[in-house]
Parts: sequence; C-alpha cells; structure tokens
Amino acid sequence: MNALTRWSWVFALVGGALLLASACVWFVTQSWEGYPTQFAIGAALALLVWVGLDRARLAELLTSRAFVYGSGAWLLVTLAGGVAVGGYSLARRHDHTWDLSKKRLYSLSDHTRAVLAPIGSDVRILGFFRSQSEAEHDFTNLMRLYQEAAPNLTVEYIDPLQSPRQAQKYDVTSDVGTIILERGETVRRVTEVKEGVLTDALVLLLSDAEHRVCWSLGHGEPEPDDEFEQTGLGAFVVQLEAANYKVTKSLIAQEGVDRGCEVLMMVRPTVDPFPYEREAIAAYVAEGGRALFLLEPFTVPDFSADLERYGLSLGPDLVVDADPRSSFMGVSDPSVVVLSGDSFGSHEITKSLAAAVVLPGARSVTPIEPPSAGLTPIALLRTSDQAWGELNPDAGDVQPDPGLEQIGRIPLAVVVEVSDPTVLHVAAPAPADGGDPLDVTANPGRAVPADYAPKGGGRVVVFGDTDLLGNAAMALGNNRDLGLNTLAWLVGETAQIGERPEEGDKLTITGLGQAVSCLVSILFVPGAAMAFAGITLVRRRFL
Amino acid sequence: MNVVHIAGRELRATFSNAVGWLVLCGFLLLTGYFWITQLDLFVTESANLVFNPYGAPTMTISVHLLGQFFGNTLVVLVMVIPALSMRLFSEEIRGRTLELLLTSPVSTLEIVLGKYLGALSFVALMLLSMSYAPLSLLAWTDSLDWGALFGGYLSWLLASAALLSLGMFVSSITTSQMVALVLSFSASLMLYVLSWSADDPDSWMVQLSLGAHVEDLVRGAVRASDLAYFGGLTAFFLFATHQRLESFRWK
Repeated sequence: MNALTRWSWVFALVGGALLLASACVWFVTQSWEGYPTQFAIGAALALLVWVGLDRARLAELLTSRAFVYGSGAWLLVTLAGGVAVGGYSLARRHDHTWDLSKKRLYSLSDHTRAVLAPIGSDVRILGFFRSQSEAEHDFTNLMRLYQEAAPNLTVEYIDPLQSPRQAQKYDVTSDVGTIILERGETVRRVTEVKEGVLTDALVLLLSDAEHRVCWSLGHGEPEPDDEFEQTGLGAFVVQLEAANYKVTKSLIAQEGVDRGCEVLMMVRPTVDPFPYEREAIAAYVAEGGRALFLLEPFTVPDFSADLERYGLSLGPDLVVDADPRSSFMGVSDPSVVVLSGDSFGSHEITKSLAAAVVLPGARSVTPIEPPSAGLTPIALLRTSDQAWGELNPDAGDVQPDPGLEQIGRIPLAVVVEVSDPTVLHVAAPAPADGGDPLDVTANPGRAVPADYAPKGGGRVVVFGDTDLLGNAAMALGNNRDLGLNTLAWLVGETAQIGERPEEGDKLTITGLGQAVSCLVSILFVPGAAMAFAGITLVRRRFL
Repeated sequence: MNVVHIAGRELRATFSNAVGWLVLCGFLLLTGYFWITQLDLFVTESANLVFNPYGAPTMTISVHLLGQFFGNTLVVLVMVIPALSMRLFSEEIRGRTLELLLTSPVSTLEIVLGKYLGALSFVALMLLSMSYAPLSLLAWTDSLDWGALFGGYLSWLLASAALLSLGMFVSSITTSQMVALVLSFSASLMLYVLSWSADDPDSWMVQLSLGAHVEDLVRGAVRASDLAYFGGLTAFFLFATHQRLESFRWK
C-alpha cells in the first residue's frame, strides 16, 4: 500500500495526459465520439485512483492557506474571464458599427435597411466562399451589417471545398463565391458580394418573383446549355441563372412568342426567321415585350433588314478598329475590338462598367437618324474614330474605302425603347384557318396573337456580336457585367446594375519626394531615437 | 493620485533607460520601413491600374495604403510591446523591490494601474511619433481620410493596451525578464495569428484573435464588439495581474 502511495503521482500524470489527449482529439475532430470520450473516461478513472491513493496528502493540501487563498484567486480570475466573454458576446449579439470612413464603406443604404427591417428568422443566407479569401472577408463584413439591421437573419459561412455535400445540395460548383438566399423552399443565388445585388435578390426572395428568359431556337442558335463549344453561351446562361433568371427554350416557328417571357433572346441565328416569326417578335415587342438580339457579321440578312422597323440599321460588314488602344493585348487582329471609357454610351447598362469590354468580331449596329416618333434608339457602344466597317474582310489588303464603307466612330450595339408601338407596323392577326400552313412566306400575321393589344414600353437591345458573351470571351474584362446589366435593364431590375465604382485615389510622388520620405522614415526619425539612446547610455555611465 | 505618481515614475524610468529609446528606435525603424514599402507599392499599383482596362481601378488611400499600413504594422507591436512589458514586474520581483512596493501605503490596484498607465503612456508617445508618416500624405493629396486615420490609430492603441496588459501579467508570474519576453511574445503572436487557420468566421478562434478584430478598425469601422473585445481582454489581464500581486501579500 505504501509503495502504491509513493507511486500515486503516476496515476495523476496518466490522468492528466489522457485528459490532454482527449481535448486535443476533440479539437481536431470537433466530435466527442470515439477517442475523446474513451480518453476522458480513462482520465477520470486514473484521477480517481490518484485521489483515492493520495487522499491524505490531498486533504492536507486542500486545507492549506495557499490553497484556500489561491483557489479563491483562481475563482475570481475565472469569473472575470466569464464576465469579459459575456460582455463580448452581448456586444456581438447587439453589435453596432460607427462608420468613420470617408467613403462610407461600412454603411447600408436606406433601401437595404427598409428591406431588412421586417425579415424574420425564416430567411437564411449561406455564403459559399473559400476560407480566408478576400471575397469571404467582404461577405462577412457585409453580413455583419445586415445582421445589425436584421438581428433575426441567419447567416452561415461554408467552404465548398470542406463541405462538398452542402455545396452539392445547393448546386454550388465554384469556390470563388456563391451566396444562397433561402426562405422555405425558395432559393435565390447571387455571385457578387455587392449590397445592391444582394438586397435585390432578397426583395425577389421575399416576393417569390422570377425572371423568365425565352431562348429562341430553330434558326441555328446554340443550345442554352452549351458550355463547352467556343460558339456556345452556356457559361453566360449559368451566370443568368445565378442571378435569378429562368432560361427556357422557345420555338417561335411553332409556338410564336410566349407572352410570359420577360425577355426573348435570339443568339447567333444563322438562318433567317420566317416572315411570320418576325411579325410574332414585333407583336411581342409592341405589346411591351423585351428582346435581346446578338447577331454575327454577314448572317441573317433578311432579319437584319427587318430590324430597321425598330429604328436601327445593321451593316453588312465587319468592324475593324485601327486604334492601337482598341486592340486586344497580344492579338494583332484589328477586328477584335476593345472598348472602354468614352466608348460607352450614356446609359443605365454601361454606367457601372469600370473595365473594358472585348468584342471579337462585330458588325455595325447604327441608330437610324432621325428616329421615328415613338422609338428612342441609343448607341450603347462605339469604336474609336479610327474604325471602319469592312465590307470585304476576305480581301487581302484590308483598308477603309471612303464613300463605300462606314468610317469613324461606329456603333456596335443599340438599345431601343418603344413608346408608340404602331410604328412597328405589325401585321394584323390572321384568322386561324388563313392560308397554307406550309407556305412560310404567306400570311405573316398567323403567329400574331388573336387578341393582339399593342401598348408602349417595349425594349430591344441589339449587339453586332455574339462572341462577347460566348464561352471563350465572357470572362474578359467587363463582358459578363455588360450582358447581365443588359438583361437587368430589359427586365427593369436596375438595382441589379449597381453604381459605377468610385474612382480610386492616385498618388503622384516625385523621385525627390520618395527619397525624402525614405530618408526620414529609415534614417532621420529612428536615428534621432538612437541618438537619444546613446545620450542616455553615456549619461548613465558618467553621472 | 498615487496612480498618476507611479505612472509618471514609470514613464521617466523608461526614458531614462537606453532600452526604452532602443525599443522606440526599433519601432520607428520597422514601421518606417513598412511605410515606405507600402507607399511605394500604392504609388506604383494605383498608377498601373489607371492604364489597365481589364481591372477595376479602385485603389483608395484609406483602404489600400492606410488600412494596409496600420494592419501590417500591428505585427511590429506584437514584437515591441513584450520588450516593454517584460521588466514591469519581473524586475521588481527579482530585485525584491516588489515587497517594498507592496508594503508602501499604496494599494495593489494603484500599483497595477500606475505601472500599466506609465507603460501605456510610453506606447502612446511611441505611436504618436509615427504620425509624421500618414500626415506626410497631405503634401501630395488633399483627400486624406481622417476617419480611417483615426480608426488606424485607435486600432494601434487598443491592440497595444491589450498586449501590454497581457505582457504585464506574464511579467508578474516570472522573475526572469527573458522568460517574460519569450512567453508574452509567444502569447501575443498566438493571439494575433489565431484566426489564420480558422475556416468559419464565426468560430471561437476568430472571435479570440486579435488580428481579426483590427481588420475593419484600421479602415475606419469602429464596432461595439471590437471595443468590447479589447476592453475585456485588457481588463481581464489587469485583474489577473492584480490577483497575482495580491498573492504575494498572503503568501
């Protein structure tokens, strides 16, 4: 028994080690299952044996003056720690931010506050971001402000690489950043950490609204889910769906244009739509519908001519820009045009674009002057003044031909607002049994709805290029934002467009200024402190 | 009154010692180096972005110069503060002058607060001596963000106050200045980098990390939770130091 008492410290040591091991394993696995519990039980048993064997010495220790005072001090320190943690938790729960920054980096707009105020605990925001990334930091900051304004809002931070199951559940395929807004069965997704975009998505979530985009097929257009071919726009469609658009296929030749479409998209058609399809499109726009056309050079001549009814003219050309500032880096082909700054028209769609857009081969799209009453066409993008519309790009020597070709600042995209639909001259609805159904040129009014009721408010956007939103070029510059802004403007979600980022600060310091700054920072100021150290040392030695 | 007296004596002792000046020199040299590299980087990068049509040209002085500078130089404070705090009590314990101090007609609280405020005053002067750097920007721009500048200095002061109280507590539990230096530097560094390996911004590691609580403060966002964190941390270690000194009385 004496020998056991002498070696009782071994049990204390083993108990302590097991307790530590239990805590370490729990820290790594974040679970009490398995080893942490087993180690904890082992530790408890070892410590119990130690207490049983060493009870006399322990009793002596427990009644000592050092233990009584010491344990009191420990208790007080623990209590102080508890108070500090409690105070911090309370402050965090009812957090408040005082934004002292000049550009109000940490303040929400009144609109966002109004949207957040009535939000209940049924709304969840899940941020799928790579841990420690800059985007995650921005998201965390924004969510703190949102939670200050809406204390019931639930926010979860998820790393898709570490929680692939949850990422899969919400169809998150990127670790760059996806925000899921969830309310019951309704889910919205956002890929940008911007207050305007997120608040807009919240409004949509709360209102259960969804934008339906009809993707025209049947004229050689690519499928909307074509994410792999260079000519496809599947990557852009993914972006659209992420921004709460629902893209559905539409066969105008068979079904006409569905009035439920918020936007009709016709992308890279290679075959002219039939006359009755063109009338169906015009009727749709005349009834206040919105349409987006992306047309390649030297394609669909009849349809291009038909678009003149909307107040714009598509040239049978390939625009070439000889301005070196408009050339794409490393590419000698002058038909790949880069536009930025003053190339953007003054419009909602382009106001937030901070970087350039790249159009890899575009045709001219010019507003017709003067515009018809009832139509307001505006050039959205223009080249530099060193551009021309090349009519014969396959000829060996590509040069501008004055008088024959359009030369100067050539528009490459036009937006049109229709206030008077009668100027579209839509064919009258045809009777159900009118004409031969196989004769596609006859009876153009056959696809116009029988209860056709024109009204103002139609919007049309025409780009003289498709590839700018293609799988290969969408990620270049601001191409993606240009496409998303266009859709947002068409459906009237201008809040999604956001504001132009504020101009950054620029410091211009001369070489002399930098040299002085360097000398002061590295030599003079620390040198002065060093000199005082020396003086102090000398004074202490000799006084 | 005793607190002010002790604080004044502590401050004078720091300046009458070459170590205090050397610490100040080290701090100014390191932060000066951080400043000129950050300034050079900002001048170059902001000029480059103007000519880069593919990137958003939004670099601001408040975030990308002052914010980065104040944030990065916190690591200098993590190195310098332990050098200041190491001698606060360990020297007194080793030289057995603490007994004299404890038997003098001042309370333990006054001793702790006096020594702490003396050291904090030195740190505040040290931080203030670096103000020439951000203020020199006025020579080149009139768009200085005073809010961000205030946030940067507040972050320095709050972090210094917390690290100093931690260092003072460590200094009270050892008789060796070197041990106090190593222990408080390790603890401060751990506190600073704790959030680096955290995946969840809500995790306890982020909540406990000093680095995470200055990220937005240096850009001009003063949060109640950040103030509570620094206040709680400082008060806790001051109280722990007080209890440690009290133990010398009953021992």
